[in-house]
Amino acid sequence: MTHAYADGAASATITVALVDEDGLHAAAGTLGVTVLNVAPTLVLAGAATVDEGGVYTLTLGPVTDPGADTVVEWIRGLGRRHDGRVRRGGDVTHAYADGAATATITVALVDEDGLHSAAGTLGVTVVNVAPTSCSRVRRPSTRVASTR
Amino acid sequence: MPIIVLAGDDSVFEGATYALMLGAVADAGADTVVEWIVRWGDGTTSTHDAGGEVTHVYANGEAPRTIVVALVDEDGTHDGAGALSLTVFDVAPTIALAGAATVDEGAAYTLTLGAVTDPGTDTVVEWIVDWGDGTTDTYGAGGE
Repeated sequence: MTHAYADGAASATITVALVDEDGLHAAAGTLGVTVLNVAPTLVLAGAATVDEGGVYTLTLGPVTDPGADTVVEWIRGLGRRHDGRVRRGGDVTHAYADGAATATITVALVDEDGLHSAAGTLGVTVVNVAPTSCSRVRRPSTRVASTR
Repeated sequence: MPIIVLAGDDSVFEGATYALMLGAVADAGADTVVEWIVRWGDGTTSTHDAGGEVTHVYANGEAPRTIVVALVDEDGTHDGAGALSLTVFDVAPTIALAGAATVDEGAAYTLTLGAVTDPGTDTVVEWIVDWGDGTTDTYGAGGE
């Protein structure tokens, strides 16, 4: 006989009643079982590379959880600290200040059963952007025009 | 006609041993009892060559039973020399259950409905499983 317990963590006591010629016999046997929670996982999607300083769009995709749990918070970490908390999935953005670098995006999920770290991870390469020549043009000195 | 005093409990559980005391025989004549015939009331009969305690196991309850004792002496067989009524009580069956101690949420948990123990000759026809999470399933057979 098989049964799927919809949600954990929980403890359940299985009770079996038997019916024979003499009628119903309740609690003819009992067995305890512990239903374990299974941590949710998350699908992350985003470009493999991003220019430093550019906007990187990360998609917080579908959450898979065999239990009847509801995610209430997505916590995005970028390798150093939790720097983004959102209350729903979908697209979020981030600007990487400097490249060349590799970053691993890690997203934790919070549901009724608590915090589930590293529910999803995604690697991204931050590409260095070469400085452009116009950025080196010096503005004319105002001192030259000074009458003092 | 001889009369016999019978003594015994007024009830017994199915599968348990019932003790009947074949007591004193009163007979107006100078007859000697040579055989005690006990009809246990469940279709079985036992024959004894002496009085005293005799035992019997009632296979199944719940049922009312009347023990009737016949005595045999020089003058023949005397039916109904003594009688005693009792109740045979049913004993509830128990079942051995087996299954893993833990299971992941959403995964299939397998419960084995094992051996049923019942001192009576009862046949289980329905297994009702309360899974402990608010759901109940009924099965027509045991096993896994």
